[in-house]
Amino acid sequence: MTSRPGNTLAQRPLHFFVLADCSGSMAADGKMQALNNAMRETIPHLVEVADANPHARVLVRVLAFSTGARWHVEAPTPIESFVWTDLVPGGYTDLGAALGLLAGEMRTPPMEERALPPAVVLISDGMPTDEYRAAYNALLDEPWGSRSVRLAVGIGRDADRDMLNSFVSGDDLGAVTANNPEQLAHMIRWASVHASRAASTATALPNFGPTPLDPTEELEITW
Amino acid sequence: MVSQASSAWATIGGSVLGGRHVTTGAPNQDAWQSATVVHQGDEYAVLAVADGHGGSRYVRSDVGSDIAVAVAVEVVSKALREGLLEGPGRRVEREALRQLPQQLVAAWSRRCLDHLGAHPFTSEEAGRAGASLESDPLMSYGSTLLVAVLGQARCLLLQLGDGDSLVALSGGELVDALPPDHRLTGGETTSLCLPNAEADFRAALIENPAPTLVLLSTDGYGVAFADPGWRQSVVSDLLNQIETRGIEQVERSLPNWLQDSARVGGDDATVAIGYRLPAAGRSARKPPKAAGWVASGLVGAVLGAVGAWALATSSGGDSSPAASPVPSSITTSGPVTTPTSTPPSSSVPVVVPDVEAGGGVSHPGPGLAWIRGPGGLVVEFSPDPSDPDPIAEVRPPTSDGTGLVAWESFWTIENGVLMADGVPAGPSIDPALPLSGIEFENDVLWLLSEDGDWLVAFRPQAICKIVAVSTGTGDGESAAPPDPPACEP
Repeated sequence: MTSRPGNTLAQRPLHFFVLADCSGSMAADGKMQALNNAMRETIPHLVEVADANPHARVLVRVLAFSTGARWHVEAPTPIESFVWTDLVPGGYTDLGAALGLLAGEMRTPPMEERALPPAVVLISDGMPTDEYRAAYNALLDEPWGSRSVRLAVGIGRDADRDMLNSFVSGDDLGAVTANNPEQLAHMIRWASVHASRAASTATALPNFGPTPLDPTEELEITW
Repeated sequence: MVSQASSAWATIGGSVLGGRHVTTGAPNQDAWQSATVVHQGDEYAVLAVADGHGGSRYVRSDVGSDIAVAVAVEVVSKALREGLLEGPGRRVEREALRQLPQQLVAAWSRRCLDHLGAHPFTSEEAGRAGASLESDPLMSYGSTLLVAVLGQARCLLLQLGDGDSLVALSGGELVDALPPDHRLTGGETTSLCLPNAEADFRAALIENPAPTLVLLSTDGYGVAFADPGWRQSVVSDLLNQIETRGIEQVERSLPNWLQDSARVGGDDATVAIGYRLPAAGRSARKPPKAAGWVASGLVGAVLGAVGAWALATSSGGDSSPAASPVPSSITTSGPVTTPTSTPPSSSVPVVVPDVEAGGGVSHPGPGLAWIRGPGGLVVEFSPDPSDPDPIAEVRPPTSDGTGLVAWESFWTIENGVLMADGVPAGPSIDPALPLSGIEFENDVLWLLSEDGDWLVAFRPQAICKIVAVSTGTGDGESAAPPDPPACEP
C-alpha cells in the first residue's frame, strides 16, 4: 500500500463529443451511411491519439439532432471500448436543441474539475431549423464551453457555412467541407484527431486544414 | 532540507518535471521557495509557489516562475517587517490585498524586463512562440503565484492563478479559505503577465485557530488525483504522516510523490508545505510582541458611545496586543465570512482624537487605522510612518447621528435592532446577540456584536438576504443563520 498522501491517481479525462446531424436530408445520397462509416473509420485514429498521450483518457459521447436532440451515446465511453452504432436520419435540423444538451455538460459538475478541455466535432449538411444562436451563446457562457476545442464538418453544398465557421474555436481555421464519402471520412478523421489532440495537449488547433486527398476524390462531387 | 528557522513552523517543498515535458523536452516551468523572517522577535515562515504557463507563447515562463517566487519572498519579507500581519484581521487582509499585489506585480515585471535586457529574445524563441515576442515581452514570462505567510497566530494566503492553497487545522480539517475564482477552468488562468493581474489576486487571513498545516501546490500536483475530494485526503494523510513519521521522513518521500503526480497528470508538480511544530518541539520563545496597533472593540466602542471617536492605537508598537481584533474569524476578500470558534475579545482602551478640529491624531504605527464617528465619518491613515500627512482618506458624514449611509439609506443600531432611515430593517436577529456596530465594506453591510466576534453580512441588492453569519460559540460550531427576513427594509 502506498504511503502517498491523497487517493488514487488517474489520467485526466478528455471528453470528446460528436454532434451529428440526423435530419431527413441526411437520408439523401447516402450521406447518413457515409457519416456512420466515417465515424467507424475514425475510432482507431482516436485510439492512436489516446495512446500517444498517456496523461489523457479519451471518453466519447454522441449527440444526434433532428427534430429535437437526443443522446445517441450518453455515457462517457472510453475510446478503447467505443463501438459506433449507426445513426438513422429523419426530421428537422434542431441544432439549438443539441447545443442546449451539450451546454448542460459544460459545467462542474458534471464535468470534472481536473478534466482537460473538451473536444467537440459538429457534422451537418443543412441549415439549423431552430434558434441555435442563443443556445450557442449559452454554450460559450459555460466555463467549459468557452474552453472547448471545436471543429466542424459541412456535408455538401447545402451546409450552412456561416454557422459551421462560427462554431469552430480559434481564429485560424474555419469549417471543412466534404462533397463525397471519401472526403467525409477524411474530414471527420482530421477534425476528430486534431480536436482531441489539441485538447489533450493544451496546444492550439493547427492553422492549416486537412491535406488534400487524391485529386480524383477531391473533384468528385456527390452531394 | 527541512527548515525550522522559524521555531513555530517547519517548511519543506519540492518540484518535479512533468511527464509531458519529459516527452517534449520542455523545462520544469514551476518554482518554489521558502524563507524565514524575524520581526520584533517574532518569526514568520514564507512559502511561495509559481507555475509558469505551458503554451508555446510563454517561452520564458520557467524564468518567470523563478522570478515570481524570489520576488514574493522579498516583497513579503519587507512587508512583514513593516507590520503586514499586525492589526485587525479584516484590515490585515484588506491591506494585504491592496498593497502586496501591486508590489508583487511591479517587482516581477521589473525583474523580468531586467532579465530581458540582459538576455534579448532569440530567433529560436520567436520561432518556438510562433508570434512576435517584442510587442508584449512580459507575456513570455507569464506565471501564476501562490504565497503563504505563516505567523504565530495568523496565516495569510495570497493567490494569483490556478493551483491550490490548502489549509488544515490541527485535526486535519480542511479550511476553505480563499474565495473561488470560476475563471480558472480547463487550464485557463489569471497571471502575473496580464494587465489586470493586481486585481486578480485572492487573499485570506486565517486565525483563531491558526492552521497547523499549509500546502501550496501548482495545478500539476492536484490534477493527477482521481477523487474530487483529494484536497481533504491529502492534508489529512500528510498531517498523519508528519506526526507519525516525522517531517524529515516526509521530506524524503516528497520527490517520489511528486513524481507520481507528474507522471500520471503530465504537468510539472510542485508543492511547498508549512507545518506548525507542536509546542514541545519548539525552541523557547518570547511572548508575542505587540501588534503595531490594536483595534479590538473598535466598532463597538465607536457606535456604542454617542459622539465618541474611537482610534485603535499604540505607542510605537510596544503596547500590549489586543486579545483579538474584530471580527476574529477566517476573513476572505469576498463578503462571505467562514464561521469559526472565537473567544470574545476583551475591550481595549482607545484614544479619542479630535479629527474635525484638525489635531490630536497621533500616527497609529504600521498599518492602517480607521476612525469611525457620528454620521459614518471614516478616516483612514497612511501606513507610512514617515508620511507627513498621515490621513489618507476622509469620507465626510452624510447624515447626522450614529450610523452610516449605505444604499441611499441611513443605517443605525437602536436597542440592538438594525434600522434603515429610522425604520426597523433587515433580518430578524437573535435578541440574545445584540448588535453594537455596523460596517460597510466591499459593498456589504456588516453587523457586529458587542464583543465584535459575531457578524452578519448583507448584500446591497437584497437587504433581506443573509450572506453569511459568523458566531463564536466556543466549541467550534457555528450557529445556524437566522431565517431569511421579509424583503421589506
